[in-house]
Amino acid sequence: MIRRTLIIVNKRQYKGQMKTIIESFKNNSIFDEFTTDELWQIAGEMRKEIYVSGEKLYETDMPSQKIYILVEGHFMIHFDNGMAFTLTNPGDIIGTEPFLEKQSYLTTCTCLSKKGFCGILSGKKLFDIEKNFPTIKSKLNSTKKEFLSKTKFF
Amino acid sequence: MDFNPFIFAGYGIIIVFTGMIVLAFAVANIKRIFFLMDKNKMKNVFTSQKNKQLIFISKNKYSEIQDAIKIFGEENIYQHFFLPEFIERLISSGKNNTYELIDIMIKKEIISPDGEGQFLWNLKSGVLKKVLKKVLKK
Repeated sequence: MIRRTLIIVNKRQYKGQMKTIIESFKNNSIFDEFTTDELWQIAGEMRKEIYVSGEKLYETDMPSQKIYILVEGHFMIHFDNGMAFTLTNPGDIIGTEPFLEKQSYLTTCTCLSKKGFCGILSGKKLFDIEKNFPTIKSKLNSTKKEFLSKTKFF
Repeated sequence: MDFNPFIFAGYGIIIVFTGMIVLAFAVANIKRIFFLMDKNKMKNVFTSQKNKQLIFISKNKYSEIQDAIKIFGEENIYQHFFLPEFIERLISSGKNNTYELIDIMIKKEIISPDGEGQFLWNLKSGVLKKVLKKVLKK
C-alpha cells in the first residue's frame, strides 16, 4: 500500500497543518482538559497522512500500533460481521485498539471520501509523550473512561 | 468666496481612492469575511444542515445512484442492509468510484445508519424520491 505522508515544504505550511489538527482536537470533548501547549505537543508527534477513496487505513487482525485522529474526510469502520458506522467529524478517533490495550485491530477502516486526512500517533510515540509529560499522561488516564465510551462498538 | 478647484479635486481623488482601497481589501479577504460570518452570525448557513445541500449531484451521479438501487433491488428498499456487503456488490458489478458514491449517498442522506450497525434507504430524501420515480417508470 502506498502511503502518502504529507511533506511539509515550509514553516508556514507546517504551522497551518498543525493548526488544522489542533482545531480538530478541539471538536472532541476528550481533549477539553488539555491545554493548547499540550495539544501542540501531541500534534507535533503525529504523522500526517492523506488517503484516497477505497484505501484501507488498517484491517482486522493487523497488529494495532497506531491511533488515527480524523482531520478531514469520511471514513467507514466495519466489523467482520458486516456491521459498520462512518465518521466525518474532525477530532473523531479511529483505531482505538492500542488505547484499549488490544494486540490487533478488531475492525477494518476504509476511506470513503475522495480525500481523507488523518493525524497518526504510533503507540511508541504515545508512550514517549506519556513518559516525558506526566501531566498529559494523567489527563489521558483520567479521560480514558470517556475515551472508551466514545468508541462505538456494536 | 474663496473657491479652489484643486482642493475639491484633491478631496475627490482621496474619496475615490479610499473607496477603491476598501473594495480591493474586501475582495482580497472575502474568504475571511465568510469565515467570520460562519463563526458568528451566519453559523447555520454553512453548518452541517446546509453542507449536505452544497454537495452537487451531477446527472452522472443520479444515474449511478439509479444503478446502485437496481443492484440493491428496488423491492428490498425498505430493508436494513450491511454497508460493506452493499459496497462489495457494487464493486463486483463493475462500478467505478463505488466508495465516492457511497460517500455522497451518506452525506446527502440518501442512505443513513440505523444506529445498530446497519444502514437504511432514507425514503424521505428528495434525491432518492427522484431516482426512485425514474427507476419505477422503467
